[in-house]
Amino acid sequence: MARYAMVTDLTRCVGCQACTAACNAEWNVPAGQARTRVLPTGATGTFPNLRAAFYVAQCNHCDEPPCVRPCPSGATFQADNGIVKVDPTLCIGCGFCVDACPYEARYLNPETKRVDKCDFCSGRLEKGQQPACVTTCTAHAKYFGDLEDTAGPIFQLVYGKSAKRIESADVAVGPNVYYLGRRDEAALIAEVFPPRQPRMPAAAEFWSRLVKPLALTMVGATFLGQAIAFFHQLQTGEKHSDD
Amino acid sequence: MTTDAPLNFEAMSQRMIKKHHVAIILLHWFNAITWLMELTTGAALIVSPNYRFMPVWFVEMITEVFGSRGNLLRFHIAAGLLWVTVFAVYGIFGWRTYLHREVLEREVALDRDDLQWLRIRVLSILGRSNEPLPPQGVYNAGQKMFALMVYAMLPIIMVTGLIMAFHWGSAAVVGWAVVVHFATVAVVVSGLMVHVYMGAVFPEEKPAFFSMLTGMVPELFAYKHHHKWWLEVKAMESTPAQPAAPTESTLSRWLHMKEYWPAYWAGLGLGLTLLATFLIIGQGLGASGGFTRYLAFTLSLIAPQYAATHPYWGNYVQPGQPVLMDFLVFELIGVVIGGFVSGWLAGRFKISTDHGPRITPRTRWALAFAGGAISGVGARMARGCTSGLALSGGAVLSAGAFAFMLAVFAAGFLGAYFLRKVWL
Amino acid sequence: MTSIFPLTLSNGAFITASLILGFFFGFFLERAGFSSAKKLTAQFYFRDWGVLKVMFSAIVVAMLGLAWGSLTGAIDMGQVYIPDAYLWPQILGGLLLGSGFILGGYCPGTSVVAAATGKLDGLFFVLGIFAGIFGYGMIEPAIHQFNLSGSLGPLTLQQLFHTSAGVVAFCVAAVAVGAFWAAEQSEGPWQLFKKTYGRSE
Repeated sequence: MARYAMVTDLTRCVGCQACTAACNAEWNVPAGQARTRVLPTGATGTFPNLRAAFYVAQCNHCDEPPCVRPCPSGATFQADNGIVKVDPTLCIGCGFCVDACPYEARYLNPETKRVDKCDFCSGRLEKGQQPACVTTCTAHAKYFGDLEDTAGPIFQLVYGKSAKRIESADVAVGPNVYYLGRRDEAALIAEVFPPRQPRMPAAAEFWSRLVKPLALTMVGATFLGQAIAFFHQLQTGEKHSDD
Repeated sequence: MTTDAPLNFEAMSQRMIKKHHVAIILLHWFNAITWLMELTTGAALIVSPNYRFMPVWFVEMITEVFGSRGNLLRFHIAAGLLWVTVFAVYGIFGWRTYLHREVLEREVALDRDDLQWLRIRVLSILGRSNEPLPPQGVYNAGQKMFALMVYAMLPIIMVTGLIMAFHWGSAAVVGWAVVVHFATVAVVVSGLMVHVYMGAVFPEEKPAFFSMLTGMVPELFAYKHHHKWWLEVKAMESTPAQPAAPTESTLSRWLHMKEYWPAYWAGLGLGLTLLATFLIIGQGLGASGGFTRYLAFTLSLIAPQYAATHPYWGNYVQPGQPVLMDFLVFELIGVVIGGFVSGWLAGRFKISTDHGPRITPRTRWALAFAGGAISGVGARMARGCTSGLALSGGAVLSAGAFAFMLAVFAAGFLGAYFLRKVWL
Repeated sequence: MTSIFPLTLSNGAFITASLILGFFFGFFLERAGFSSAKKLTAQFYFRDWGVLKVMFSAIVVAMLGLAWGSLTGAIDMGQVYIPDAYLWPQILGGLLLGSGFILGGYCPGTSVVAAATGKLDGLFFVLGIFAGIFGYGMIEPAIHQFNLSGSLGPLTLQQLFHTSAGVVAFCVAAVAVGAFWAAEQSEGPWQLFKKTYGRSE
């Protein structure tokens, strides 16, 4: 089984947003939303040691995706090839996963009322094509492929040229979008746009920590009471006085 | 009333008195089956370890039965919508019977005896009390408590289900709907366990279980378990009784009924026939299309060449395809037989003419012929009549069918004004 | 997943099924009282809401059955015939059929049932239909262009309103139940109106 990953070469990215436009067109992303976006970090440091980068953000298809467990209907899942997907037929639009994502890579589509995000262009992969952002990138800054293919470009870039993940000490869930840079731009991005702690909405928290145990206790207690009554009934014998 | 005469318990245990209307029995079992399906599919839908409460093998087994999780969800929603619709219909047409204030006070509200009964009942089941139970009405306090809980929870379950199914409101609304749906169902389930136990396992309530099948309970059971209700029944019986009607089976009564059937029952029969037609044949019921085929067939016998090349009739007369090999052709024969049998059974078959008081039968015949001719033209222009387009097309939600229906009713209501001398 | 319905039948089974389904169609039409022109036309004078009640309860029952079947995958709706919409001929045809209905007292299906129960006016209506369809077939080539106007294909309400079949089915059912309720209120809104505002007769 493959393990898909993406590498973005930050030394080549010119911030032209062609990837965002191609992605929006490919997947009918409504205005104001995006599956992938390009965010400038702005210049940091003191002259002449200035650093700046374009953060090409999208779903990271994490090794341990924090968005899967909060989904109440099982619409969000991780496929065998590592791609984290949303099944729109199962999604009810509760938004639990949107709050859970440390990279803000998910959005609730106001038209379909379902959650949407980058799926590494799974539809195009099935047809043997590369993701739309990769083929469109004007600076050829994006690479996509199988991380387990030792002869493939991704393996070479990640392990040979040591592309970096955007992680922090607090949030390390194994993102599979890697970044190449000459002056450690990945660290700069992690500084300016740090992955945030996965959030659980109050409803999800309330459900898993309070309602579920309470419900199980209530049903269990009822069952226990009835079991006691049943044994009592067996001991005293059934009365047939009414029939 | 007097209770001077000693009660004959032997006779009372044999004599059955009516407790439940057949509509309630049907609703009860429909509800039971739907709940069983919804609980099973609903439990299998919750896969995340955060919320899942059934073992993984159960979730996987149920999912496999339905083929995919998408099918499972679709089924859960479909059965839920059916359930909401049935209850909505009962609520709208039966609120006077089931939801009226007096009915609720009698069948749901708890009184002082009920509270006593609850205390003693629980203690005695656990073997901690031998006190006699206070007399109960038509439903005992336990049943009332369950009904109260169900009345409170059902609307919440329905509304939250609809919110999830149709994504109503913001993400926060949908998110809370999931939690509330789960919580309210859990409350009902714990009550449901007691309800099922009392009905199916608890020996003293066995007649109550059978009353949900037959609608009847032994009089002795009513005397002992629902004493206040038994007193009411006795008071009713002691008023001068009408001479007993000769017993006749329900089916026979409905078949030979002199009056027309109540509209909704006829509509139900018609709707089920229409549904069966879609399922078996793949198209709806109709009439005018059959007429057209009969005409095309006659024409093809008289002038085969002309019929086959005519721009209109040629559509029906095609080489290698028998003109009459069509659903509507045979269906119309069935309609004639079915209409005759129904009218004959009800004593309605009679050579007669249905006409308004101000016109003669002869005028009526001429008007009927003219009306038939205009209808025939209209039906073919619209590619279907009231049956073929409005009824059958309406059931598959065809846009043209609804436009046609509006036009038919518009012309009918308008024409009714000008033709009032014909009918009134 | 392959669907069970609609069935694929041999010729013999097809004819038998057609006859039986027709039998029940005729039976229930007669039971509803639709073999009587007086009962049918009373709808248009707001005196009897039977036509509306029977027709819409039948539509709702069949519609919910189909919706349920297609949601569960038992029915392949792609195999079920959905009439093509031709807006203008269908509206004009509807107006003509409605006029014929109030003039002649029946519509094509009900006239067959009326004739089957011995109603001579029903028989004349049936003869009229044959004449009308025959005449129409002869002149159809002349008005063929009009006949194709407003063509929208097999358009359904859910496509028209860009929503799902379930939502439309639910709305139609809700509207129908509302209409039933209105019809039940002292035999319809017209009676209520007359009772409230009309002169006492």
